[in-house]
Amino acid sequence: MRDGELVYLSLREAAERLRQRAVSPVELLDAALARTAAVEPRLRAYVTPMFDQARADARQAEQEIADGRYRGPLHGIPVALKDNYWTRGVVTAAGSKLFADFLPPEDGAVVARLRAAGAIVTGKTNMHELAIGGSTTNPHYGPTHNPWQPERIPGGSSGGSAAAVAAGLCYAATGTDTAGSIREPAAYCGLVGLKPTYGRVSIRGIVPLSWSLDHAGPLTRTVEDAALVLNAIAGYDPQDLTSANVPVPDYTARLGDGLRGLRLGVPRPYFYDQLDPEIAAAVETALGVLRDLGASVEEVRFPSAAWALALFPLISRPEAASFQEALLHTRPADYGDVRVQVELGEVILAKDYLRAQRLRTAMRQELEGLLAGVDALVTPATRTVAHPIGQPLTEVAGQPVTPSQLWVGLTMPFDLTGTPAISVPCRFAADGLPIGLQIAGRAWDESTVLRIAAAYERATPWHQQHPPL
Amino acid sequence: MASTPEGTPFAIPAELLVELGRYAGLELSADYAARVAPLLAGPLGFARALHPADYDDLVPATVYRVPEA
Repeated sequence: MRDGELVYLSLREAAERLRQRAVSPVELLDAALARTAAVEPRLRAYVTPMFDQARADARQAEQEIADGRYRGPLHGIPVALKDNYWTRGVVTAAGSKLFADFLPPEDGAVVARLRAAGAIVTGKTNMHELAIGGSTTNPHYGPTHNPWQPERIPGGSSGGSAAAVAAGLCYAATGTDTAGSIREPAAYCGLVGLKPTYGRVSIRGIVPLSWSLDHAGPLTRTVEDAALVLNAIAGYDPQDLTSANVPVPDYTARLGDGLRGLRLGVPRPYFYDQLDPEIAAAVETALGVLRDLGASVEEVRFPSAAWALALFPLISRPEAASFQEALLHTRPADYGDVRVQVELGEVILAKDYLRAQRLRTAMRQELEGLLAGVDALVTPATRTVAHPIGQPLTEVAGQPVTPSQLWVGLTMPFDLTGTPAISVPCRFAADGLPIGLQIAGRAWDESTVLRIAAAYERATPWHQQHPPL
Repeated sequence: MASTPEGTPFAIPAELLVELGRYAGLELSADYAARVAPLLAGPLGFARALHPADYDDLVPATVYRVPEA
């Protein structure tokens, strides 16, 4: 098999070939690195490549598999890590000059679990500075480019991870999602991006942005691949106070169950209010596909979702300012344009922070009631496709938008509720850029979210297309 | 100027932001404070005007949890 064919296997397909010894971890990595050498100069997906260590790890995986010590579907699979995931002895800068020399003393919890599953870490990926933004136009490490159209953003803050997976540099990558930073880049790059339930995946050993909102999860090219990665990284971590001791199922078990008998809610107010016409049309078509697959699709209301854009800064900025307080006061010049967002956190009163946290409880309760009647909500993941680098849109459908509304306005409500949500590719716009469909489910029920996404994916061709790099 | 969900104008004077910054140990120039005040006034005005019926019963989403033994 040629390198070009190897790099666009799904993680599951690559794993099957590794298990059968039809391909070796070293061959798989070599193909990924050859692809990286060819396209990375146009992408800037990586900030800290770890190729030498990856080669050594691939050789070890090859030996283990040859010896009959196959660890499972991630064994020998090249995987990239967002640059806010702690990696022992390897710079973890979180897209910031502040942490440019930070060498973590140990791997973070997710990294340790991935390594234990046999994954081969290829490097650290570029991200929006300190994860505060959705473009990955990073003032310190340069902009990452969208593989579908390099003059466009890949989204963010997990933009390097999205670009790496979409361009075939690796089979999966990690992201973090505080307002939508997994699902928005997944939508912009034609990928699957899963934000699990808050507490499902440990955030120990991830440079924090906002403790009560940060989620860790995978970006992959297929829904099954996202399930496989979640299988490896989910689970209770007693060293992480935010981690929940909740049973972890096999997330691949129900992917083939189909949609018959499922009820899907369409919360039109807010989520469908201000969309680019191509996004609106793509999502309406997707709703038709879900109906054709046997789901009942009904209109629902989630009014407090509209609170998200107000509550989010009142919670995330004080939490960011708390973590970064010493840095903000001693090294203000080492910030790029996100400094103002952290500074705002210094002047928000405690009572307003707590008001937002209390209203957040009301959002969660409202969603919980809503999801007692339907199995999941279906919405667009973003209002538009990816915009040109350095030129965020200021207007959508004839109305003004802020960058937050533009990038993560539709994903943010589910960070505040802490409930699982996924973005899957649902069409390409006329200019060739991908569009994402968001499916949001009940707390701890990632399985149903994945099941719906998998059924949709099987019925559509979008995930089979790759960027023309 | 930002406004509440009901459309009531809500603003934060730049001088107040400068004072709050000073209280937090942050030196903000008056010009800078005037530019960033609307970024805070929008969310704050919106959130302060929200009064769901069960507000008194709402517990903050972040509460301390004793780890399991």
